[in-house]
Amino acid sequence: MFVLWVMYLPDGLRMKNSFIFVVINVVLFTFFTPSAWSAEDVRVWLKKMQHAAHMVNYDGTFVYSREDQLSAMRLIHRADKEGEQERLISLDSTGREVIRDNSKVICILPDSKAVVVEKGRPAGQFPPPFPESIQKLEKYYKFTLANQEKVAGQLAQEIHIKPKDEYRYGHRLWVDVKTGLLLQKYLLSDTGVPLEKFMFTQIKYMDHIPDALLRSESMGKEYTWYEADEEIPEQKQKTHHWNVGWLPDGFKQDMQRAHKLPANGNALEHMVFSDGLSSISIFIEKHTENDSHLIGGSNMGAVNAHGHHVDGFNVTVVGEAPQAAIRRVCKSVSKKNK
Amino acid sequence: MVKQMDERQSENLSAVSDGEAVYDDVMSRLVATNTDFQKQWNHAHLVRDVMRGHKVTRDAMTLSQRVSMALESEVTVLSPKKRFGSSDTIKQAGGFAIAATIAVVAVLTVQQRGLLPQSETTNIASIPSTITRPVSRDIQNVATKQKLPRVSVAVERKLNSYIVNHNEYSATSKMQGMLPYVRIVGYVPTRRVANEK
Repeated sequence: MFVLWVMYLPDGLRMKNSFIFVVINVVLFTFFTPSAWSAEDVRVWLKKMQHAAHMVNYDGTFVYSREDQLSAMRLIHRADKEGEQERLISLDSTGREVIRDNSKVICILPDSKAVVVEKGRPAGQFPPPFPESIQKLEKYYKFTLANQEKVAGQLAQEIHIKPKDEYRYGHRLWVDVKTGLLLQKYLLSDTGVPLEKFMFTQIKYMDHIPDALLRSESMGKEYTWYEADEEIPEQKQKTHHWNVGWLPDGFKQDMQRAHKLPANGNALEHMVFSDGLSSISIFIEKHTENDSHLIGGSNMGAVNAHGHHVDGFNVTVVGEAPQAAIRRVCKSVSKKNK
Repeated sequence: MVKQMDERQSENLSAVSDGEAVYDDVMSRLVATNTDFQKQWNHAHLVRDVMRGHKVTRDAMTLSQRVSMALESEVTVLSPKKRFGSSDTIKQAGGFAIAATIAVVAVLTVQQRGLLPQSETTNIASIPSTITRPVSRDIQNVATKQKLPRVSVAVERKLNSYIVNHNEYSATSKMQGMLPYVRIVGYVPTRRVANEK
């Protein structure tokens, strides 16, 4: 359709202005041709990825790097009529493992001879719903569908997610075209510098995962077990006396709960805030002299944490977000005036 | 002085692990008697094997450690290879080139360009070296920006709990399934907070 306008020009003019003709067509093509993909396409890919993370059976080996560390791990995932079970194993000498099923998360930490058992996500959310519409997220991120290329031998669709401010991370995702599984991921700073990289080097999709693959062989008698207590009933929760003075644009409260910490049995208030793609958790625990608390900043890979004291309580903020955002949220938490 | 010696030995170990130098009696004694070097040696081999798509289990690690322990009692040349130079300069050059591998950084690579054969189970062994590039240079090294002392085991355990709860109860983490847990499993304590109480 862009070339038709030239048909109305006289012959001579058409020849003389052939260069202008080419330029105008290029401009028209650049500005008026719809892109080969839409935001809806990105949403479909992300939804497919999220669904596959919970519904596909596989056994894979991958490498994970951050800062100056490189780790090799194995991930086994099973989904069947009984729900979801998975096992993540460090292949390094640390021997750390995380085993997860419908009701609990077990962290086996041989280096500290500890097993920590936490409550899993609430039942009845299998698979969990996809969080947000892309349209809402486009205010804070730019989404791009890039090329398709092979990762661990599987054809994968690359997706770029770029933050529009300094309080969020960016992502490059490679999603298996056939299964939807996330095969490779870069987590990027707001300026695009990779902070973490993850890549499957081997992936085996399976119809059935044997029980034996999901059982740990590490647990010994010398381990100390720390197990989470039941949730604190809602009527006894005291989570309404806190004010969060600052959050990055678009972050809203998703969830609020109270439970007891497995390590010391202390009551812990937990609030989750999200923009639909990134989440920040605020943990509030009564300060006790005998217990150790995080004061200041810390990081575990791209997950940042910041802690400080507020009126006899320890406030710790944790999230997959830049340290500046985590620190600012933490400093903004205050007790509500009664 | 000791630190310099360690770095040099580490470079030599790197070169050996990449087949660039000879696993001689000095190296075998080093691996056999020094726990840190044993770990480095095992880790470098593990990462190399995973990157090449070899099947790796923790049993392999145990076996490797057993081999190292056996060496304590009898020092022998395990894998005699062609010695391509005996001068310190050549050894150091090889060691320097590979040091990044054992310093645990140099291998991850993660740009693939559609060159692998497709199959149910595949590996990265066939990835040409041209599409692999060191990851260390383009991973932002937070350590160099903010040197934080390490937190205690108690605080780390508490942070682990927080991260598990964060992963479990934030809908956005669930998008990625188990992946957020790689930070706990792959965590090697190196740095942490300004202070703690």
